[in-house]
Amino acid sequence: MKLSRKASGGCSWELDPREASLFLRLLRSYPVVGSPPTLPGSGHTADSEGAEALLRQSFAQQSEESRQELRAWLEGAWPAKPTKKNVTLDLSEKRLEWLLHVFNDIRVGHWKKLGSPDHLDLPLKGWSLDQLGSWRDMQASGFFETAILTALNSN
Amino acid sequence: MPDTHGLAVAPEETQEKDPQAKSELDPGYLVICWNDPVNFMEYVTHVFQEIFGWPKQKAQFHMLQVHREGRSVLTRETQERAEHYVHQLHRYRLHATMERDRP
Repeated sequence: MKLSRKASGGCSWELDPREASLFLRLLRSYPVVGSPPTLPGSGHTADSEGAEALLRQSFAQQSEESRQELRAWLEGAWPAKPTKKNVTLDLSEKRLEWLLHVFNDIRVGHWKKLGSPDHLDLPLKGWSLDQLGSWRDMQASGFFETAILTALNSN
Repeated sequence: MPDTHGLAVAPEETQEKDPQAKSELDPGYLVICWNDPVNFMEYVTHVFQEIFGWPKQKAQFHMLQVHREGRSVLTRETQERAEHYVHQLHRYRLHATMERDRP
């Protein structure tokens, strides 16, 4: 994987076939979980329930908008046919920012699916295939997220 | 709101302000970000920079405060602005709340 800034602005992101396949699979899985986190310290008052209901509504709307945008972007940016060659994406800074948040959403979604554990260095014994898949995709999303953060901080 | 083109507008009489309106304009609401075990430290720093327009050093200071102390007061705003910032932080999947500052 090679993610680098271009002199003309924006970034070029080259993925080998395996990375490209993972990248595409993760993005196609979006959104992983539609429900938002609970508000910390809010307890269970009528006000907090109202606030959380609004938050859920806002998250659902945002997820749907991002899902549609993601689908449209993949149709335009991704090679139409499967390829065994490296895939190179030309991305504007804004698009890279957006992908950062999408991958973070996917990562947080899988973390929630795993029960929002306090520690991420989890023992994997006794897990179902579904849980193992969530753990794997959480790590994979983090891999792409870290690459984007490194690129965005490289100027 | 109707426009007032060509009309002389008499000054309004001063009346006692609506306490609710005063509360909304009062910059006495704290925006608080809470620690969570999932968001990367670099990601939190980046989001603070993006939302508040802070330099990296200030964003890192607040990120480390969240990480070490469990929470950080990010800013003190009017009710409307505080709600806006909390909503923005939620959009980026950070845990944030607002609360009334004690006088």
